[in-house]
Amino acid sequence: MVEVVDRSCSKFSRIKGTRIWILVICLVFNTLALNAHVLDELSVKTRLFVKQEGIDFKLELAPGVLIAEPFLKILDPRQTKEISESGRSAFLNHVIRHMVVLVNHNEVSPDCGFTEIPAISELITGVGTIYLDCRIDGPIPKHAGYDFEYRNSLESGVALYSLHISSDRENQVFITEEERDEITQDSIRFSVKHGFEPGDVGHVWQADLLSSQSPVSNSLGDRISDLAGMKSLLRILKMDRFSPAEMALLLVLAAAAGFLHAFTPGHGKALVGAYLVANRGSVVQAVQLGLIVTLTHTASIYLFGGLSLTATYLFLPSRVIPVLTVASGLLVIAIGLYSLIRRGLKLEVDHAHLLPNFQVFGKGNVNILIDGNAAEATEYFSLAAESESVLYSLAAAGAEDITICSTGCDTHHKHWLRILDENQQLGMLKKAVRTGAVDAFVSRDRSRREKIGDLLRKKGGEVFQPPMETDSAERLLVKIVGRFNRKRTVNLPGNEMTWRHLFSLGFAGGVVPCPDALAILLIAVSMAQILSGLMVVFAFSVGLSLALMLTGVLVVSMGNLTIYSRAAGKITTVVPYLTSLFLTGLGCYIVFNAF
Amino acid sequence: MEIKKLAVCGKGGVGKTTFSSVLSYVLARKGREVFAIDADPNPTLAEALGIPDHILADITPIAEMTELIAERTGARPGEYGSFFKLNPRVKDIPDRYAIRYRDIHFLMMGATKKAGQGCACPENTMIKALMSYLIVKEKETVVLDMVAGTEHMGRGTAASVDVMLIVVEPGTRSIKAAKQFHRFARDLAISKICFVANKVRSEKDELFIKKQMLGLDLVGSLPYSDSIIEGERGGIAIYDSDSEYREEVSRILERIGVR
Ligand SMILES: Nc1ncnc2c1ncn2[C@@H]1O[C@H](COP(=O)(O)OP(=O)(O)OP(=O)(O)O)[C@@H](O)[C@H]1O
Ligand SMILES: [Mg+2]
Repeated sequence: MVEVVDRSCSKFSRIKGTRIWILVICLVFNTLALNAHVLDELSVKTRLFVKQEGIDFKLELAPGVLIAEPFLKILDPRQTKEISESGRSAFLNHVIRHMVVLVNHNEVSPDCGFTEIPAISELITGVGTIYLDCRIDGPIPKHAGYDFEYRNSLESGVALYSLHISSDRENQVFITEEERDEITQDSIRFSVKHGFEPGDVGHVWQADLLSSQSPVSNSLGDRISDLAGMKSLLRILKMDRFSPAEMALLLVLAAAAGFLHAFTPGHGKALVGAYLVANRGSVVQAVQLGLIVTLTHTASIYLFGGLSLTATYLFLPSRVIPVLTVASGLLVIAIGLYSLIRRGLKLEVDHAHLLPNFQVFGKGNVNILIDGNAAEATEYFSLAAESESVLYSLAAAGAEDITICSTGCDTHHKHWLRILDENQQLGMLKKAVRTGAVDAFVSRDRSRREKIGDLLRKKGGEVFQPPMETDSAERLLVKIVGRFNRKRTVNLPGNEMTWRHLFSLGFAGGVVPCPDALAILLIAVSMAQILSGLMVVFAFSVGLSLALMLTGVLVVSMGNLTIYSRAAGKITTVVPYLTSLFLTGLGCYIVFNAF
Repeated sequence: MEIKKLAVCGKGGVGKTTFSSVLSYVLARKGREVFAIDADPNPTLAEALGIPDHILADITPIAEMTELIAERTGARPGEYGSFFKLNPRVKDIPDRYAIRYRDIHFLMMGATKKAGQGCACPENTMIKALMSYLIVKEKETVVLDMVAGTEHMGRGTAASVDVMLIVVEPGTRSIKAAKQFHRFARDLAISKICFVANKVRSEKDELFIKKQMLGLDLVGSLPYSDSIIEGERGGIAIYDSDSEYREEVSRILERIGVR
């Protein structure tokens, strides 16, 4: 797929249009290429050209940002930021060592030299390509055949190989047979014939006819097709200065690229989603989370970009990024475990369906908290609340109204987590009491009255047994209202989804700089286009965060759909555990993926 | 004491709704302001009252008035576990939300989620408070068409029900259920519990019921009538479709002491 698109791009590039349009087309059609993290790989491209005088090998080595380090160690062992002569020959030896060439089953060593070697800064940022030219001399005798074998094992763990083979057909050099490893593309065996024999026509190897006749091209189009998607953005940035219109378009494209890029694994969507589900976040929070991620991400790219440029060898992206990834993974694990443990212990009572809305308590009201087991009392209280004696005492105490409150549905008690839910209910009650707004707690359960009692009395309230009929409810209400103190300190917290939570998660989601974005900045800086680099990175981050916000908003709105049914109500009691577990798992995934 | 709060209950399909509708009209004809309350989660009282479809289409059951419930209880239906007010203000609801049709004020409670006792969800809380208000505080006459007669009603409210009318039909199952409702109602300390026989086709039916109800307060027997079913099809009020039935309802009211 990617390959097909690449070709379409290079075709377009031949039409001499604005490079921006090429970029548009590449970005629009290359969303798949965006998913392929070309920057994590080493591309090893070999073009074999068989001539009468021997074989030309043209090698293109393009290390991605995360794997440039081994190359740098060879090319610049003393970290001088310059490629020394000894570095060059060491590198050539390194490459030759990993190549095997057999001519008629005898091993031969090719002659190699650099045609182009990029600057260290380009290699560090993962946009430099090393071009090598190798040769095997030795004319192919007329009317005779040769067998060749070629194998490359350079950085075989991370490399993606490709092989192109063609022959000098004008001088009657033909490839008559070809056999290669179609999957790895790292080895090929072929036979060559020189000279035309009428009987051979039918045997001319078809693949030869299909192979590219044109020499290796360094055209803009080729480069773009080479490095589709994000890399093409880099390439474009590298070209030269832009008109304001081009710059604007570039920014839009960078945002689009960031948006699409967010949907590749490991960009915090799952994180955002899980968190919002677990905490039943709102749309506003989804947006806030997206913003925090954007800011963190942009800042972290700027920071690491700056570090990489000032202390190149201390902050090699290829070293820093895995470390950062592990760190953020550990942070996510910590958040996941922390919330899992808190939920397990029922310390966290504000999960999913249990966001307490303390706003029902009024400061000027007499607030009575009723335990689920005393539901009967509610009716007596409600009726008694309208009796004259109670209304009279309300007026005398200067209270506005009586609010009878409960923590709600008892389904928890029939739940399989019964004992734990007992703690949870208690936690909710205590939270309510801590607001200082509760004037009385009514429960049938003595141990509950005791558990709540001390805390409540500190806040000026009292615990009571439920009344058994309206008259005693009336007397009790008069008593409770009589104790009411208008001046008690009440602190009714709003939504409990804290900035602390939101921030730690947004930070974890954004702290690992996306290598692609980091590379954009680094190359822009190395090309002395600092401002455009900063702007493109910002636009990229904005696109990324838009995608996160979108995910968040979708998650939130879906959450709202499901929460309005009782069955879903039960599910939502389990979901937070799952999401905590999921967060932990996700953290592990991030950590292990970093290696 | 004047009888103003009438609750009708009985096994499914015995004719509670039919009876409640006629009861409401007969009471209204006596010059009373009548609130006919459909407290059945599967509401059909409006049809029995002959309320035309175009009016019916505009009725929102109280349980589905999400915004109202949220405003009064502080929590939205479907939100579990959050704190909410168990004594929402409901005083204005009968006057504000009842549909007036002919001389009847009609209120539809709507379906609340089936839940165990002690479940306090915002919509249940709202309905309960409203029922309680209608039975205990409302000055006018209230006729309640209910399923079992005990849902939404605690002892405090039940104490204010003036009469509970349990409908039975000539069949052992409905009688068995009726006796169960009787026990429930007695446990709730409802002061007056009566039985009404319905769908009585013959002397034999009537005798059967009388024998089964021995020692209990059977206050009347309503005839089985094809015109009720026909009238129902025509969408006219049952009150208008059968005079014999209507007259028996009047006599029942007399027997239980309604003037
Ligand atoms: N006296 C009667 N003669 C003939 N048909 C009757 C009579 N009473 C009721 N019915 C019919 O029986 C059916 C059930 O009546 P109704 O809806 O009043 O019962 P219900 O107890 O309210 O039922 P539900 O439990 O479904 O609410 C209706 O179709 C009604 O027309
Ligand atoms: Mg009915």
